[in-house]
Amino acid sequence: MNILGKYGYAFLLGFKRTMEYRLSFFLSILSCLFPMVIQYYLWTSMYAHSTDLMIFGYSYRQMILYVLLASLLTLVVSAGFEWEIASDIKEGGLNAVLVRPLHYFLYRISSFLGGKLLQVLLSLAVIAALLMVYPSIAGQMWQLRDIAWFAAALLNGVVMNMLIFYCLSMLAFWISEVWGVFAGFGVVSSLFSGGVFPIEVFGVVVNRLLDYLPFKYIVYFPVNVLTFRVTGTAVLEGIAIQLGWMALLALLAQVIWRIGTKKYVSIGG
Amino acid sequence: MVKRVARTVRKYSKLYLLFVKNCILAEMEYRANFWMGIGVECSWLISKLLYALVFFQSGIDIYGFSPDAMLVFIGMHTVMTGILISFFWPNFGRMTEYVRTGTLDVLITKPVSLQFIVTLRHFSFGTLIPNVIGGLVMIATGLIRLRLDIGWREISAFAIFVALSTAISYGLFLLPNLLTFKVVEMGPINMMMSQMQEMNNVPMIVYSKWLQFAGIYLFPLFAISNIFPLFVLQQADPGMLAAAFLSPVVLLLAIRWLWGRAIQSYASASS
Repeated sequence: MNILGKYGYAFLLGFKRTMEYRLSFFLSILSCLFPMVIQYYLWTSMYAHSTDLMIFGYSYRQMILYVLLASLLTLVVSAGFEWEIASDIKEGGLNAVLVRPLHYFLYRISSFLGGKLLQVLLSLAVIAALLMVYPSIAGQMWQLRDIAWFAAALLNGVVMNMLIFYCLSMLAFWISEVWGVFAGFGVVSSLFSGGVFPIEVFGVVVNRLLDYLPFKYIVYFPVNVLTFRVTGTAVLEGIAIQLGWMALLALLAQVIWRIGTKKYVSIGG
Repeated sequence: MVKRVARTVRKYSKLYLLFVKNCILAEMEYRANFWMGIGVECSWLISKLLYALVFFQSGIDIYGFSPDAMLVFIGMHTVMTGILISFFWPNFGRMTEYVRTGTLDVLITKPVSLQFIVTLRHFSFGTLIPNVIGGLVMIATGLIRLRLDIGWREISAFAIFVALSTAISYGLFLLPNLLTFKVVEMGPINMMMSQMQEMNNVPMIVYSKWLQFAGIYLFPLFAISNIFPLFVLQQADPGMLAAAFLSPVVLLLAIRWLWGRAIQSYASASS
């Protein structure tokens, strides 16, 4: 079995596991509609009662597109494997992987992405439908080049979020009850990544602080690439920053893994 | 008859207080978990405050409701979220496990109401504190900034509406959980209910008229967090007040009946 083969099988197993609980899957997709409904009605009523055409620097169309796309992108980039990694470390499931010729992260991520495949495809289909409903924004039509930049920014956002949560999951080497960190961090990172509202709502000071953190490059940046709020060289600049963060996070993950596995005591499993 | 009812109420109140005490003691045994729970709830509180921030930063009045009035709505939703996740979720989330592991068979043999012990046995103190304190601060801040009195009338109304909303929450969120006797995996259904409940993050006035109607009279989700703020801001109409008082009665009766039906169809895990 070649390298691609074994991770491919892990991917396939993840996909099959999701398909075992089809009703659960479709209900979880249905759940994702509620945040979109809330956002749509909230902003529609706000713009209807505002004397200004722009709120937080967004026109009505830009805002609706932003909040709908941000809800979808939050789904696409969301992690979830951190619970499995923490459980593997705490309960000894890691033993079984360590003795096999597998890279633990690649194995976990392959299985996780397999389970996420259908959700991602559905989200991308809805994004494509949204682009058809809104064929232009701020007087600009979407070109293939814009879609390609968006795809690159989104892919980087996904990898960044995976790496952040991978680093976080390895806290389980030191803390046995790590659920609170995951849950709390998940909420805060979703807010700071612009997954609920555009980060302009936080005000100037917080925005300046967010410039030095990776979060806004996960959801806010890709959405703004698609809505033409980030254009020209700013797109390239943003993608370069994403790549920088990815390199830094990958390095950090490697360091934490090395220190963590040295500390790891194989009990249970 | 009256004496018997009083005796039953006394018995169950005493038992419930024991459950609560027992759960608080258990939480205190794992202090780190307790503080972690408070930390997580604080992060959720921040996400609710973000909605208030949006209203205040934009300064827009929606249908005559200023950002201060919006804060009262968000505060009430925060208090009710605290009650829901502290008193009910810890129980509803365990129902599947009771059925799957056969624990329900043991609970059936207890000399108390099965519905009572299954749906009210557990309580989470840690999740209650930040939400109730945060919610009360938001409500008080909103009312003070609106220059409205906070007297006995408002405090009594708050207590009454919290009691009514608690009963509505119990009925509304237990309803889908009765499927636990038929469905193996309840996680996604509860996740959907939890997301649906987030619709109260914003006042119901932002939604379309038909959604408001459905959310008050058909599936009284909006009645949980919206009627007290509307009442205290003198915007509640008689129909809404009637819904606030009647919904708990209808829901609790429906739940009682459906619970009986669900239990009749229950086959023990070992049978």
